[in-house]
Amino acid sequence: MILDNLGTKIADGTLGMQIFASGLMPQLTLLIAGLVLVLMVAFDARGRYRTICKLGELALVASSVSAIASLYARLVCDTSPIALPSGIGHLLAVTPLSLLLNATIPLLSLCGLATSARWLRAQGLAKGEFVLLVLFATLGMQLMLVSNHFLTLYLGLELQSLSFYVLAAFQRDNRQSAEAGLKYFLLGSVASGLLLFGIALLYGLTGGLNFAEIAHHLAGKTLAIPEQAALVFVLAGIAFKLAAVPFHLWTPDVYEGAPTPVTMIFATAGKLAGLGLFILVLFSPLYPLISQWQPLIALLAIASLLIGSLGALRQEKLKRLLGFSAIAQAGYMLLGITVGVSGLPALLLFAFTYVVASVGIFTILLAFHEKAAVSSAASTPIMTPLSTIAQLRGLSATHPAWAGALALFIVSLAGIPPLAGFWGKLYLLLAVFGQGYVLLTLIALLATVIGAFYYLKVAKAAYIDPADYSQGAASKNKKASTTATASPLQLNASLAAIAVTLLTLLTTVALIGGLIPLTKLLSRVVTATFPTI
Amino acid sequence: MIYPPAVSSAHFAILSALLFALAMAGLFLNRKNLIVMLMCVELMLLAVNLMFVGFSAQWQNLTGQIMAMFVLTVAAAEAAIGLAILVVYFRNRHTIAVDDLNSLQG
Repeated sequence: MILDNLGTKIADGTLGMQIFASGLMPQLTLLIAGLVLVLMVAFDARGRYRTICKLGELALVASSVSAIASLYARLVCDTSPIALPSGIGHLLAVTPLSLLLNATIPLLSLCGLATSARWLRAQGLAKGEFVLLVLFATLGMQLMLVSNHFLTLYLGLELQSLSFYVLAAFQRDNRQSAEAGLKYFLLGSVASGLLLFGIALLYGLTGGLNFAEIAHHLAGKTLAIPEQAALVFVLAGIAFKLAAVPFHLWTPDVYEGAPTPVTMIFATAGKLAGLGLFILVLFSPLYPLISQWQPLIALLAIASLLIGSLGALRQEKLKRLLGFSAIAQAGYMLLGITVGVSGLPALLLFAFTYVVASVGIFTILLAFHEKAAVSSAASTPIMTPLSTIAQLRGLSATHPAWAGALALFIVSLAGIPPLAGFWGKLYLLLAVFGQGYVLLTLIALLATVIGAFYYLKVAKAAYIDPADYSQGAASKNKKASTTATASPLQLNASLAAIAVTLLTLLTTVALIGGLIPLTKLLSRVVTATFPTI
Repeated sequence: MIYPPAVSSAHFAILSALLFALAMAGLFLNRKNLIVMLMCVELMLLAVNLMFVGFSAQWQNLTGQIMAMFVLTVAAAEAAIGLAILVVYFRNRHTIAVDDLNSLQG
């Protein structure tokens, strides 16, 4: 027990060791940092954004590092996890999978913070609240992933969602941002209402909200309509968070309207957390219903793959395109879940390659901005990040290195060998095919082909299309003409470090044999997390 | 027994399912006013709360009631944030009609 003999433990330092060994350090770090920063923001009305942002980044790094350390202790040193006190253990359970995701998610939020600082300052939005919201959203995601009880799951989910709603509307004087926030809020709260209704039904059926209790009660039962209703409601709630069809309608709108750094956090950290939520819910409390949810998930996967891919085809706006691409990626992830536990390592590999490439693309979108589009309303120049595909034209001539990086990320996302994204997709589809789902594999292949088309359209704009800003853009789009004629893009080179790191990650995994250790690690994490299944 | 025997937990479940359905209908049929949508979301959460409390009485344990307290708290936070976002939206658009939510299209 952690809390016995508190005084002596604090004195001789074992308390710290025990908290560390419990694996809740990542959450505690973020919680404490968040509370301290709330006070700093509240009492320092000037809001020294730089300091607060640095501290927030530090907290995210510390959180990630402590998760990695706990994971290392679990897997490599084989220390058996310390038992949480029974009250806490009833609510929270730290698994290797949750540690792995909890190590990754803060790093993704960190990328969001690091890339946004300059843009926020230019918009006059560099306020400490932004950092706080990102920190608390991350804390919510982490808490959700270590939950062992529907109460903690719901609270974590809401902490994440409520912070996300505000982040989406963070650009207060921008009508698109406000609308994105409002749409996200309305649809998101309906989704959590559905999830909650499903949870209430599960409680009525089983008399408990602990995952083990629910699984225990569901295991013996013959399935009647109430169980199926509960399953459908819970699935609807969590499918919304992963942006799976038919709960995808918010995705393109919110991705487009939200500020770009925020979209980046939604598309990477939020996506990974949604995936973790799916795995957590389906493979622990609802695992006895696997024969019920497998066909449902397969249907959702097919619909997401097709609607996401086809919807992305006609998009001219980059963020909207990435929104539809996120729907298609949700389809791939659901495919991996359909396979069952044996598909999880491939699924995780796929998810990691996807988020790395996504962060890369968003970083490049943020690295460039249009120079001083002089608007009639404001005398100050307005920086807008890259938003349409047409703006990318001629990028290879003006900024060859950045265009190359963009092309690599795009190619990885499209799943073209030898980059990491290809291996992720290959392993995933092999796992699906290996379980005998031939039709699903074929549909996924079709979606990949369609995906290659729209992804490569972006690369083509950067490499092949001529950079005629004055005519091409003006004739196509009246609104864009005022900005596009004004200038080629301005570069913010300070983001280069992030892009380079991500590129190294992607290519290391693909080319320098990082793939095999990574897949080994992932399958070890999965087997350690679900030893009984 | 907390409730008279004539009222069973099935009654609670049916009542709260009806309230929930009403809230969903309100969300999808209402094309006029965003405030009404916020009210529907609240009704949804309250319907769920009723269900939790009813089942809590059925199972004779406190889990459902504790959950209901937490849901109430979250609902309050959600309403605060929802209204704040609505104010931001109204300042930009000068309307809160549902049909005007259309500036984001592909």
